[in-house]
Amino acid sequence: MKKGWKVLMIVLAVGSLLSGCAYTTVSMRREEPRYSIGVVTKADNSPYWLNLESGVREAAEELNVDITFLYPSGEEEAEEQKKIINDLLDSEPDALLIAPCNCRDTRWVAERAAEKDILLMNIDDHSADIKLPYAGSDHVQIGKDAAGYFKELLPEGGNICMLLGPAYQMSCQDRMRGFVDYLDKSFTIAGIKFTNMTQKSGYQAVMSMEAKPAGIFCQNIVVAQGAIIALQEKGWDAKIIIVDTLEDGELVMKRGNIDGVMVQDGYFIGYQAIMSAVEGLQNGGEIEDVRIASGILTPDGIKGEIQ
Amino acid sequence: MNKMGFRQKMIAAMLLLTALGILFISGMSYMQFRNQSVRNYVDSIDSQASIQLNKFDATMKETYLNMIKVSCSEDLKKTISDYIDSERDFQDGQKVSDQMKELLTMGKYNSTLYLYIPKTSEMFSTQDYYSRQKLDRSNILIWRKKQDEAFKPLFFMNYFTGSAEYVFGYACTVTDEKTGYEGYLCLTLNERQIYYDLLAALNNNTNGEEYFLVTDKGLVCSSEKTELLGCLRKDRSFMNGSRMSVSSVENRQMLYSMQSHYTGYYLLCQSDMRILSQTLDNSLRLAAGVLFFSLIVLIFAAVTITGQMYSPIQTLVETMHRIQEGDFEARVSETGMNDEFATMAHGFNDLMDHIDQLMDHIIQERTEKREAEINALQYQIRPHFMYNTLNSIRFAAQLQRNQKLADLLGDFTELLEASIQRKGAFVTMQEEIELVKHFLALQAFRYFECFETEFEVAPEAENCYVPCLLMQPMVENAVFHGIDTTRNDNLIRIKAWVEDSLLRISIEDNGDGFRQEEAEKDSFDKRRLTGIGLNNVKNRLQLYYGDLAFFTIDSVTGKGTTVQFTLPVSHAPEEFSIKREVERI
Repeated sequence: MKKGWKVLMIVLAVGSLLSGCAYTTVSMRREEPRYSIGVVTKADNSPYWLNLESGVREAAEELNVDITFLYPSGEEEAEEQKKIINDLLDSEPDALLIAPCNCRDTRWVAERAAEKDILLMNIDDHSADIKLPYAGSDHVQIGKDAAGYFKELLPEGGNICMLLGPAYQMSCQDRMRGFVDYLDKSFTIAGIKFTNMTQKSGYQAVMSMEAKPAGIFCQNIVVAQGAIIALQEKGWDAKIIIVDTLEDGELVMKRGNIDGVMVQDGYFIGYQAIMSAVEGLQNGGEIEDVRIASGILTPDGIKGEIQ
Repeated sequence: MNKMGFRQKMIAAMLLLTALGILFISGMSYMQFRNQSVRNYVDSIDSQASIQLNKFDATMKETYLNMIKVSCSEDLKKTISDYIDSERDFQDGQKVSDQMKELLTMGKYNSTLYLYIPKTSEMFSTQDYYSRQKLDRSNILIWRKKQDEAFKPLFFMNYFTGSAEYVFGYACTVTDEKTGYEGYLCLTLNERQIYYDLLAALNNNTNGEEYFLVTDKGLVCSSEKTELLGCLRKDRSFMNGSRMSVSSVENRQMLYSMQSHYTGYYLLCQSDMRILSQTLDNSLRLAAGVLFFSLIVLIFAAVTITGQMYSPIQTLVETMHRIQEGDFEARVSETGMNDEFATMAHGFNDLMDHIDQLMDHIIQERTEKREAEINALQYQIRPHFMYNTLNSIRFAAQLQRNQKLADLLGDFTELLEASIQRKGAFVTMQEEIELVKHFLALQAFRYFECFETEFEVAPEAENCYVPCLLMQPMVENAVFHGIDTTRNDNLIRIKAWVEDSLLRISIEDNGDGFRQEEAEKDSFDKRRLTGIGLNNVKNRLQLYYGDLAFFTIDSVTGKGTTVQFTLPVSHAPEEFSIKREVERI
């Protein structure tokens, strides 16, 4: 027993000395990301796209996923986007999420992605030439809701104009389809204009109108601002409904020029898209579409549900 | 160790345990503190490196996207086609450069866009100097890269500026589908810009860290030391597929690395752990000083405290030594404190007092025992002498044919034999009656046969054991006090019977009897006459039987006296003996 105590004492003493004097060996490693996902949006020049990127990065951080987030210089720059998508496909991520600038030119992406076993899905807008999993707003519903809200704003009916984005974007087509199908018969579609999403194109579209519209359904705030300037120049007054983010919508609503905002939550779309993509990667590529409903921001508050 | 005293052992144990405890806790704390410091240090580096690497990624992404944008510019495509189809004079070349400058929007960075037109073997740039130069196609081979490395920036020595400099860049082709003309674009960023924007702030510290940007191939592509640019790092252990790693390398250096997901480049931080640990070592030295000082204080405290604690023990030990040397009067002086030592001293003194008493008792017992032994030896001689003498006289009387005298001597001899307990302490009732008969025979001779005796002994009582000569004093009393020599009807009746498991013995006389007060008054005379008083009988009964046996005396004046014994029935001589009683206890 005495011997045991002596040994214990010596061990303690030596251990103490060694533990105190031994040099710390440093070795650390960070957990490797589970997946690599490429996201190519139409642009990055509006709060909507910035919010979407935030949602994407938030979800990626939660799920420990690497994100390569790229975009062309504008929503019409399909060629730039094509190059970017090609480069991304070359880098062989696990999944690729695209918001196609040209919805009719995505089949090649699907083919290349399939060759490289890359999970491909649409975000924000869906392809027209091929069916891909989708995560984004329910654009048809946005059109329907806008038409319904016009009926509330203009119970008497009247002429309605639509200032949409580029015709080769499926989101514009869907909104138009939902709007036209659901618009009350007391209204007349006086014109449908496809713009390049600039203020100038909105301005030009209104200036080219021959008759005063009772209401205008605009693609976004940028186009609507051009339209408002044109309306003021012509001395017309019209009810305007736009599609945009909640932050932009609240801003313009305060100015009083806009009567309703079909709210698109870019953050939630981005977040949900990554969640769906990771789920798809986990279960072998099967992904269900995520169509996110939009609420309506009115001067009296929000109607419907906003995520 | 064994030669050490209690106090020394206590001090040594206290010091050893305390020193070990302090040493162990200090060591553990130091190690923990050191590890935590290193972790904090790495976290700090990690957070800074993350920010700077993200900035690098963002810059490279912007460069890449700008290059893509320029490459898709219809204006540039047209400008290229127009230039190829033109006379390619200065003005035509200037248009190309101007167009390139117009397209270049690289924010804060002073980037340079290069366009190589293979058809004319000319290089255009957005620089004011060397905006156009003739170059062989081989000069732009460095712009080529693998297909899957689109986002990894090129890093190369750029000779197109007149002064060679390292640049980061992205390259791609630009093709005019209408004419089929093509050009090669490269958008570059100067390495020094990147260094001053991203790494200089990190290097500007006092902890001796050195930051490097290293390509995915291990080439140093940005560093404070320009002579290292383009050099392959010797230590490429960080290229282990891990996004972030920290390892200690030779000479106590720590190498932190973080790989960019976008570019694949590494941001390295090489730091000298000795600088980091300098503060810790100072703390260690301070701790050692505190430990040494604590030990000094501890020794002083231990000596003082144990001295106070040891004082009563020392007094106790000294007292024990005095007692060992024969001083049984020695006692521990009690301090009046109410602690364990006071209790111990008090207990020790009590113990010694008790031992003293026991020793006195033993000495007294020994003295008495010796005296008793001497007396016993004398008593052994006297009865034997008397017994033998009486037997000789008895035989002499028989020889002279005086049978009466011989019988009397025989009776007396039997009584003498019984009185010296030759037959043991207990005899049967029958034997006791025989002794009484001998005694009465002697008394009858003495009193001229003036009394009669009757014996009524029940058969079941005959074999009961009683103390030897139990009845003799009572019979003697009956003779002395119950017989009137002037009468001729004196009667002494002795009966023995068993009743309710008790032996009852009665001795009756028909004398004058007595009153209680007379009995007490005559006690002295009685003792003088019989030699053994009533108290003797009472004490013997008490000694042998306790409360189980007793006797009563009934006396009626003018009618006589009756003494009645009540004893437990015993058929074994040793049943109520003193020896047996002692064994039982």
